Amino acid sequence: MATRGQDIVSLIKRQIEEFGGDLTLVDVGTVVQVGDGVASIQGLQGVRSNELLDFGDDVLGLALNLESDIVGAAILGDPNAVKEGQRVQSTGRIIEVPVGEALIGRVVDPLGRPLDGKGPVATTGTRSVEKVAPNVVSRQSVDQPVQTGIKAVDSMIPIGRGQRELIIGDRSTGKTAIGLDTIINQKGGDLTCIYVAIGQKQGKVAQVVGSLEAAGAMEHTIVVTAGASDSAPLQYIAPYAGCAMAEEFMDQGKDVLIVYDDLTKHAWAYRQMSLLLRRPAGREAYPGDIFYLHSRLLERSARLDEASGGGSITALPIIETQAGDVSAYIPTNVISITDGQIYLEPELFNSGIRPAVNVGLSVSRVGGAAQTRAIRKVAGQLRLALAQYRELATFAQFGTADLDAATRAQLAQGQLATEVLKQAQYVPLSLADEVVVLFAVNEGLMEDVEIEKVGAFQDQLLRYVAGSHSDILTAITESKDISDEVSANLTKAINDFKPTFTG
Amino acid sequence: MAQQLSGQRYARAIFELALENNLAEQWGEDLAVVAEAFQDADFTALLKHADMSAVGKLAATATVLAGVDAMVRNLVDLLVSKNSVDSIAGVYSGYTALLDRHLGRQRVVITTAVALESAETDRINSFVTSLVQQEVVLTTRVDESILGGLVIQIGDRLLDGSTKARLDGLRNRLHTEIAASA
Repeated sequence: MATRGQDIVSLIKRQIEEFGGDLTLVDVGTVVQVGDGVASIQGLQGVRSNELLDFGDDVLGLALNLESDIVGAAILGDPNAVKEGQRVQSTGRIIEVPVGEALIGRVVDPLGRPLDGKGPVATTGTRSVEKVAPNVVSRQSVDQPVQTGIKAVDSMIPIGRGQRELIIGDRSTGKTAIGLDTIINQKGGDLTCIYVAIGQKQGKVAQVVGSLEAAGAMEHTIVVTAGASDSAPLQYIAPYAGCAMAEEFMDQGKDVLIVYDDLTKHAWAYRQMSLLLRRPAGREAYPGDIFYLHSRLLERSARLDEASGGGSITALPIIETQAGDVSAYIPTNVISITDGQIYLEPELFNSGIRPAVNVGLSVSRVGGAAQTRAIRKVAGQLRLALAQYRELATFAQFGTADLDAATRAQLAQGQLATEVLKQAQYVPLSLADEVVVLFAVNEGLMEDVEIEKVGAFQDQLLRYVAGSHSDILTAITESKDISDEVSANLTKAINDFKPTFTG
Repeated sequence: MAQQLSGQRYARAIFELALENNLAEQWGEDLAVVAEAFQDADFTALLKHADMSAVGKLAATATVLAGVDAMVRNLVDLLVSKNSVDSIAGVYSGYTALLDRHLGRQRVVITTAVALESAETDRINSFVTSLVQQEVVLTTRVDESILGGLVIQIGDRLLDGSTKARLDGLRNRLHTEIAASA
């Protein structure tokens, strides 16, 4: 404590010596109109677009509309603190956020100010919030997987580093859960995670942070939050701020995973701002540049080539649909920008199939190239089996007695696959565990297990393999492949386990 | 804000007329008289009143603005008959800005904590003139809340050398540096 006090004293001493040394000419203006979080300012001749404005008393603004006589600015902070006739000063800073290692484990607002009560964030650098995405030359194609730890996703909708995979679905269908499980699964790995909450209820954000802390996942995670009660401009810059923090790591050659939860509310916030700034409204009252709003954000996710450091940003944007309408304006926009989508359905969710992934509508356009060989070998037939099962399941509702043996086998296989892919929240599986379970299904070793007991069978099997055959798990983890020897050993292990399964 | 913008347009129009008539500076003084008259709330309320006839309104302006150039009064009458009395402040500020640019002079506001002596004002005047390389129209204001020092506002640009600004800067820097060293 004494040394710290000494530090501060010497700091103050230096400050006093340099007191008032620098005088600079700044641009000033006067607020002529203020309301709804937007101010019109006269003056500010030299202000630049996206420059931070100082309203005094720690209230900042963002210059957005530069017109001949008037500057339209969004107020970042308490809009009631700004009054007509007040003086506004330009800061010369294009909007920027603090970045760096110090942010990891912290909960911050979109301007990098801490919200978790753990004291100031000791960052050293800052980065511009808006940045042009890496160009074609510095990119390379996706070739390394992001293990989500979710069987349904890793086997059928694989995600690669640098990919943008949309998570889309109605309210409370488990969208956030997929993002969170993916973050939790990176524990002990080399991926840094950023969770950006946009327009979420503060209670839900607190719950998310609590879950991440409980799972020990905050050690590699930054949470950026602009809640439902924060001003629209803050919500608007939140994903860009999160992306700037991610880019800092990417440029150091590291891999980053960023979850934007969710871009629907981001679009709402931008619509609100645009309407208040009197920009022309288009379809559904969204402004004309609503597509660019999300495309420029998601284009910043990339996998850089070796010459550029080889880092990557993987983005998992989330979109909430209304009544399953994926053809609404914002969902179609974001679907067209991303490299695939995970579509979650309320019907599946309510019938107990969780994660409620609709396999038919979910795709990953580039992740296949990044899928590990081990998973590819065991997941091959799964997608087909499930797709055929969904069609037949409708008929099967009227009884299966009249169906032929082949159809009944298909039904049984589909039912088994559906059951195997069910997974509870916050328990992501390791790569080796996923391979063991999917191997058992793929090789037909689980066909004689009763459907109700599939969950218990999986749990006990994994415990058995981990206990008695950990060499198999090590071999799979290290080689990320299933050699003939591993395959034979695993078959034998599962067959050995089956008689001991009590159900 | 709308009044301000329309005021700017009227200002540009009357300024062009003034240049054609070579009366730019004289009309500027006339507009100052007009703007001062319209500061009076009762007078503007009267001109905006619905029960007052248009002829009566014009008669009122003719009485109040007797000494003003006929063309300037025409502008006022036009604004009164169009019910845009509120634009007049905007017209005046727009006109002075145009006139200043035309004459190549710059308005500068000096704020100090104590009243300046004329010798000091002269020194500041010559300093600011050398800074902006233009003729300077200096206005001085006294504001005790800046504690000491000097604030020079040149158009939209501000040179804040007040003690208050330096203290604020010191407080902010100490806040951030102590936070960073913690």
